[in-house]
Amino acid sequence: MKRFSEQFKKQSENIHMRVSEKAQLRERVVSYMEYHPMAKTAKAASVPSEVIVSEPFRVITFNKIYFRSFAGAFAMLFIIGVPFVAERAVPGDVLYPVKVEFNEELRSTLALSPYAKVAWETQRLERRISEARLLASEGKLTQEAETKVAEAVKTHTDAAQREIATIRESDSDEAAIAEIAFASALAVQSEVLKGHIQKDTQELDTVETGRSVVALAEVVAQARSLAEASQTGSALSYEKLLGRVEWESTRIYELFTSVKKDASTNEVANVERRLEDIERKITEAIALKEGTTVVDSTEMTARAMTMARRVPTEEVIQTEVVATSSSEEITEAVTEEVAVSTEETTKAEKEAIRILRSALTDIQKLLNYLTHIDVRQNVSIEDLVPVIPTIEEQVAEVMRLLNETLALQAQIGAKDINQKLALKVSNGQESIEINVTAAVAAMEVGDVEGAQALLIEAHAFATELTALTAQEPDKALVELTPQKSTTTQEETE
Amino acid sequence: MQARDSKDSIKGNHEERFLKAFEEYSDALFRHAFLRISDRERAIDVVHDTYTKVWSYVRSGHEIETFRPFLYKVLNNLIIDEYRKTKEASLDALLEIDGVDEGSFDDLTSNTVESLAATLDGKQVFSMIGELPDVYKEVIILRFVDELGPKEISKLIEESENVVSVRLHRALRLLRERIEAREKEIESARTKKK
Repeated sequence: MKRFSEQFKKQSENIHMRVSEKAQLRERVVSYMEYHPMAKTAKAASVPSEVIVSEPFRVITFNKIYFRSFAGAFAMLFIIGVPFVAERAVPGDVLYPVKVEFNEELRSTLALSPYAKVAWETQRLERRISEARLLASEGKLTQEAETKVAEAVKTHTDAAQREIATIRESDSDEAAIAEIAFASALAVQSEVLKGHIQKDTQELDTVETGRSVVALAEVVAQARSLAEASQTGSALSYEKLLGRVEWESTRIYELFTSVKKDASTNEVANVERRLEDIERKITEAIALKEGTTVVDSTEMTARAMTMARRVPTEEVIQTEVVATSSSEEITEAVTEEVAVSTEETTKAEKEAIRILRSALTDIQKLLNYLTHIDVRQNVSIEDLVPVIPTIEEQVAEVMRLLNETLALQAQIGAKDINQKLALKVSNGQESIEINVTAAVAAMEVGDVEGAQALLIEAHAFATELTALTAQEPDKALVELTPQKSTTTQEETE
Repeated sequence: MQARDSKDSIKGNHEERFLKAFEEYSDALFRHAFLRISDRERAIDVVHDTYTKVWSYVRSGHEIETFRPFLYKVLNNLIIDEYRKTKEASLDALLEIDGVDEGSFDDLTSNTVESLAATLDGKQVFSMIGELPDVYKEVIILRFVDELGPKEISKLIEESENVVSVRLHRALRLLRERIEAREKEIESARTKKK
């Protein structure tokens, strides 16, 4: 039996596939497997193919697969990465064109509404300027680069103006608001550049090594004045403006509360002060407007009412409070009866609009100041939005000036003045006297601003005279300690 | 991530195991197929079909623990199909022969099969195997070429072990008869010559 099966087996083993036949069969089976891979995985099917492909080819196919997958990843990285890196480019960098021609153009197309377009053009303009300043501060600003930036500023200004014109076609109020925003942005940039130039002149090195941004500053200042000029010419409805002002002021309050904790107490106080000023402007405007709407028939009454707030003497504050509250009461009482008339804009309304306009400008400037770190670094808040004193502050200021002037006068009077200066001093004293009396008279009529102006003049005179007479000995000193005074006199002579 | 890896490795396993089965059994399957069909090209095709069928089965999520019996099973079915396609007539004849012989159960033990086999010359039998009807060829090949046990064969061809043994026995007896007949022929031819 064993022999039989052995023999049989031996015979059967003579039968086998040829190597080529087997390879072919294998290839057929494997390709079948590749076309019918394990559920959903094309990758798994490629595994068996490794075995039939000879070693060196295997490496290449493997690399190819890897390369393919990495090429995709690399392309993605490139597409996403380059614009990201380009965002930080400055004129002269390889990626700068990507930033300006690709990134920013893309965002331009994304800004759909004309208003958004104006905002974006404004922002682009700000970006150009800050690039120029960055280059200048590194001493790398060439004339070419500066010209380019100036051109870009021009282009963006034009583009913004064009967009404003488009808005005007549909909505003149919106256009005017956009104009205000644009003009205030320009004003801020102009101030920033001024601040930059000032810094440069202080640090002489930068001026020597690189160009400053003088030419650019001029261009921006020009654009600013143009924008401001066209802004004043455009009409604007009170309601729209008020709405806008309120909207923007909410925005700024939100922004301010969010940055508050990071700012120094001094900064917070500064900003708070400006916000108060703006609030006051708004209430003033509202009071003006409502005063006229209510008593539209007699405009003069309204004028009188607003004038009534300026009650003579130093008790202005209290009276003002009373007046406003009383006028408000009247307003509330009367609005119910009187239908709001849509009469032509009265003088008071115009005035209210003017005040609101300036409030809006201030808000925009403050927003700019709060949001842009480079603005904060280059410009003091006082340059941007000067403090507007309240009535009580004005009064206090007047009183301070008055007191100081009087004190100085007394000081001068106490001096032992020699012959040469005697005439000058007496003339000066006389004009101071005139100013002071005029100021007191103005205060009595309630004209605080007039009084202030007069007193500032008087104060200036007084300080000048004090400076002049500073070297003169005191009368009192001469009398009390004659020896010392004579020595001082000798010394001066 | 880890779960995916293990899943992948299972998938890899499927393919690896399948290809290993190809390496291990393709030759034997081909031999079997060739001996039964006696056509090289078609034998290869049948082996190919066997593997693709088994792969589809694996693909559809079935787990195959041992490939060998499964492959043989599929191959066997395919060969039978092949016969049905081409040799229908002879198959009928073959069944008739089977029916005729069904009565004799004198030789049912494997012992007798082995003792019978011992009297035969393997070389000679092998050369004659193509002449046998397929039912006998099948068991003979499975038993002596593929070296499967009676139990395995019975599972494969879906007959009882007894039937397998009987068939084997008959196949061998048939072979012996034929060999003897041939020897007689040669003998008679020699005596005639004398």
